[in-house]
Amino acid sequence: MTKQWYLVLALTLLSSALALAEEYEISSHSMHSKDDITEFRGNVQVSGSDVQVHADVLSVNANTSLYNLAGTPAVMVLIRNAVTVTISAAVIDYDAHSSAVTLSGNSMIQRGALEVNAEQLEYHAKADRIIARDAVKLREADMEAAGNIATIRALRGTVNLALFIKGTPATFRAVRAGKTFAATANSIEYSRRKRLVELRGAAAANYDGEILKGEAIIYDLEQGSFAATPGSSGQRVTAVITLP
Amino acid sequence: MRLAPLIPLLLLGIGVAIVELLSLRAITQGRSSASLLLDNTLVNISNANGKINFYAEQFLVDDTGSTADQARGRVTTADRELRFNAAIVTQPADQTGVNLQGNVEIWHGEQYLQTNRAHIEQDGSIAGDVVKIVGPEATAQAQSFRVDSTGAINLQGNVRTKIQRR
Repeated sequence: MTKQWYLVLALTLLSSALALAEEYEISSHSMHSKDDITEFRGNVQVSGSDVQVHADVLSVNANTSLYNLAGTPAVMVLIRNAVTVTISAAVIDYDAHSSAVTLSGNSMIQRGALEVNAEQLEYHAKADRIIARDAVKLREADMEAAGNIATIRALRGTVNLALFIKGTPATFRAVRAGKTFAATANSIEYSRRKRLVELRGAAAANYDGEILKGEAIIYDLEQGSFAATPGSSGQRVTAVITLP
Repeated sequence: MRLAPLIPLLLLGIGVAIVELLSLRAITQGRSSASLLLDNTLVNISNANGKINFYAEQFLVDDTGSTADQARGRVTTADRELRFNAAIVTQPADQTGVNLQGNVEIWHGEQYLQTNRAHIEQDGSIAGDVVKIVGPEATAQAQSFRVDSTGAINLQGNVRTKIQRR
């Protein structure tokens, strides 16, 4: 590319790349623009109708539509489909083409009432899906879980929130109608819409004092019923049920 | 007395005065209070790095260098051309580019910057203080700026950038 006076070109491409707001403002202590890269440094703040950013450094590659935020932490607030998503991490990478956000280092995503913490997080805005890795913790008003890797699909609404989490073990806890359901397993799948919790691999659950252990357990939180499967090596399902 | 035969000679004399203007400064620098003032002057400054030429309503050469009032001109390098206008243009005695002061505007294509003080080198690099850069879809303001000869831009101090999508 011919060496030119890059600022307006870079910022024009930046506006296309971000594709976030009709008009937005960036304030910073300094700005450097060279070829396709524009870098803002020092108390960087971006404000627009559907995005707010606070970071130490904002770097934009207008050619690839990638931009990078760094901070202690860097914070990005997106408004998508009337849902506010707050993203916070040491480093945030945003791909404007795919609307994918990748976080690393003390990462946090808050989507409505859902909060997810992990070392690494991905938020795919188009699919409204979160992928979490390493020291995963998530919580919502009546539910919390922890593990090593998790996928959360919000499906454009918290009512349909679906969670799949793996760990050694993964843990899950939910409160339904005043009763607490707590479980551990190698993998846990939870559907809020179906009110089902599926535990697989060294599964153990405690539902308001009722203890259940097996290789696989499916709990219906709506009905309070369950189905359990023993292990393949002839193990039994263990249940301790407290009678009224 | 008929003056017509003298007109070509007169024009030649004016042309020589303009073309040799910069070398006149070298002559005047050796004097304690020498000065030369010309009106409606075209000034050319060029070396291997590039070329600066501008038109000024008044052009003064004295011991400290040269000064042009109400000047407009352009900087031409191998890969770009900048146009500028300013209330006052001075060239320091060391001939390192030109200093622009007062309602300075420097244009590159559709975009331009406004400042009260800027220095342009013959390689096309520009530096100055409080600046506003205006383009078709974006504006930026800062306390100081530098555009180097490659086109890279550095803004420093309270940088405010506003972007509008079409």
